[in-house]
Amino acid sequence: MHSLRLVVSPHPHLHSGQSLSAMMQQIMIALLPAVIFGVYLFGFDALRVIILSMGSAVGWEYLIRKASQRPGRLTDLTALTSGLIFAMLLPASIPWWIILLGTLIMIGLGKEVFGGFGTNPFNGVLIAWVVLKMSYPDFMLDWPAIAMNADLATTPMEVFKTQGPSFVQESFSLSEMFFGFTTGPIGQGSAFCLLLGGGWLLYKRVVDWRIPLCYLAGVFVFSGLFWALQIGSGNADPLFHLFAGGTMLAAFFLATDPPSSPTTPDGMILFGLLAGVLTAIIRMWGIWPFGACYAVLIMSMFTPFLDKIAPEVYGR
Amino acid sequence: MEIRSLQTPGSLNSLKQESVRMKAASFQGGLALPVPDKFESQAITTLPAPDRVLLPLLHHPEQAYELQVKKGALIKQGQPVGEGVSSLVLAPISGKVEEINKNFKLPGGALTTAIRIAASDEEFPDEAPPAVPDSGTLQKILGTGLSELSESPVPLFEKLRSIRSKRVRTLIINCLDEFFIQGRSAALASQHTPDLLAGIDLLVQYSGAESAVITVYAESAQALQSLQESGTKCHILPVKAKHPQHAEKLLVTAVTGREYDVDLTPEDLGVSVISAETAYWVSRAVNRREAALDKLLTVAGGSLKEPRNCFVRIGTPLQEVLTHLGQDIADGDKVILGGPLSGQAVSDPDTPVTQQTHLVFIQKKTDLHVFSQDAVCFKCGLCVQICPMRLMPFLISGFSEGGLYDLAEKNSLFTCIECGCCAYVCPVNIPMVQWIQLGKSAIRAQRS
Repeated sequence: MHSLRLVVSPHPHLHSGQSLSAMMQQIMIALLPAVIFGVYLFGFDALRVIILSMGSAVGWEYLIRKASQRPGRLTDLTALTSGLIFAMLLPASIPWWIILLGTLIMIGLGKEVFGGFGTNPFNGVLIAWVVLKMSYPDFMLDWPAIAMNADLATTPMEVFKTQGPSFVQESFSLSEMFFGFTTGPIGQGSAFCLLLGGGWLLYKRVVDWRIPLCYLAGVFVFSGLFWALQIGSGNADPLFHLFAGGTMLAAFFLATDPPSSPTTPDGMILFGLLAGVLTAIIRMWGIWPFGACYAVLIMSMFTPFLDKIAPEVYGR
Repeated sequence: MEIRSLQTPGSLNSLKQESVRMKAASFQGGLALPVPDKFESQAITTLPAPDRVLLPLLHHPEQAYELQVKKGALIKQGQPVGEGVSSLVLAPISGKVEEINKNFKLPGGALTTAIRIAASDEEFPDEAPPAVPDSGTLQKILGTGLSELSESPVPLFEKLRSIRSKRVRTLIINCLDEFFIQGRSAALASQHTPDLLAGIDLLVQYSGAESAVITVYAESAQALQSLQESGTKCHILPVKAKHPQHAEKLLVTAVTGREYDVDLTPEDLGVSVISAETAYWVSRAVNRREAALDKLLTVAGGSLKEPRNCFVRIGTPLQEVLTHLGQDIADGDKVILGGPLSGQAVSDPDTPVTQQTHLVFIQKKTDLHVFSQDAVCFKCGLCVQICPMRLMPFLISGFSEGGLYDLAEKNSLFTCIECGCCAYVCPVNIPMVQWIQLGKSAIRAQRS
């Protein structure tokens, strides 16, 4: 008699259906409002940067995996997604070769050199952004003028840093900054669009609420404290800190990068709060206006430490 | 990296991630169980006795059994075929001892002696002993070969003795089944309420405990109603239907509100967990002088729309049970002893039903979940959030995978109850339970 050949495997025998590629897809969908708005503001140039960034990220990963004789991982969509997030941080006018250099650093130095997505200690997007910011400050600050605000080709955060909060109030209204009718990087201007996407990610449970909400709370409470108590001069409205300078992008799309952020609930809360406070500190007392990206990058150095704040084990 | 999405039968799709702290008796993390559309479970059926039974003499890992019969011997139903210090193995059917296999492999991999009995029409000797002795409750329980039918098998005789010596005050009668709200224990509570309650009374009386708490899924309306209407003095505790609420540790915590470390037992907290089926058989043994030759089993999955609960003769090959229920299995299917989240897949469809077989879950070839061979954890933290033991599963699984067993142990590897929640939510399909099991067995091997 033919004996049955049954399949044997360890348990569980069911799965939630969640996958890395599905999560990446959701992140890209969540960025869609910001992408559309960016293209609306900056036109074809923005689209050029996005396509080049995503395409080259995929290309570099393919080549690096090939050269290091490891199986390809393109189907997990992490290269495509980080390419899109990276493009959100660039000015629409950036030359093509800087994009290519940036994505090479992002994929090579930020990810593959550590073994691939998951084992990288830092967010590759931020590594590439920092390198470009240091190496090509002129290109990275070359904001194209937009139709609605043609006379002022600087971002609100730069105005805050160089000319002070009172000048910000004169130049931009809060609603202008909330909806993003200011110049700047392609995808970080519109707090509204990013908030839509962030809400989608929370709803879809792709990201945990702890990091983004605690990050926003950190920025708001810390800057709000100085503003309300009028400690020192030159404090800005905490809402300005929430809407300008890429706070929303950092909260929902940069700080939540899984490999470089903590895994434990308490670690996530602390990570978010501290990154938020650090963002405000860099903006208020640092020499650069780009507090959000730096704060997240610096906080990811503390991730191994924050992961030690493990939940209390059952029965211990 | 290829990720296959899993097709599950309709009712299983409602399995959701649960992360809210519940007000009622429950725990943090875990998975909400699928709630059936229909709350009335089908009547418990009794399957006919098979022509052949296979009887492994290993009801309890710590008890050695002395073989009482020889090959070719004629034996009568209920006659002891193996005898341990405090339990018996009884012949489930009358017949002839066809084979004695000294190296029978249990699904878990352990070797034991197994007896195969074939039903026969020959005359039986008259002097065969009666299945249930006449005198004394304890003797009757001993004589029925009853085990405590929960996850940690102990002869009931031993269990009652330890309950008495440790002065346990509360018995927890477990009516929760793994994964299924309408499983065998819920069916028992709603369809055999008097027997169940009589058994609980006897257990309380004999163990010297002061009271009993019956834990039932709050979503199991029928069982809850039957118990409440019976006017029993036992406390009925509804608990939220979540996986793995049925596990002993979480059950004890739901009742007592206390947690206990790996080196403690529920008895140290003044409680003891006994399954509803055990209580049922105690009542049958003492009041009707019936031996526990059947096993109450839930069969689910495959083409079965809802779980079926049935009494099956111990020793029946699984394949025969499935055939009776109209459930065909083919090459490439999975037959799982236990639920789909923490059950164990068996390789042999003729694996016999034992006292530790509670649930048989069938998975068709097309519904199988495939783990990834080379996935890298990307530290999303989903497993940390879902773990009912509040462990960091990715860490202990990763340490075990890398052979760093001491680090795995330092991160409370042995607190893990292998419920499977972590691997269920893992977006990159890491076989975390497999690595954790590997770590545990490697450490045990190093120590022995």
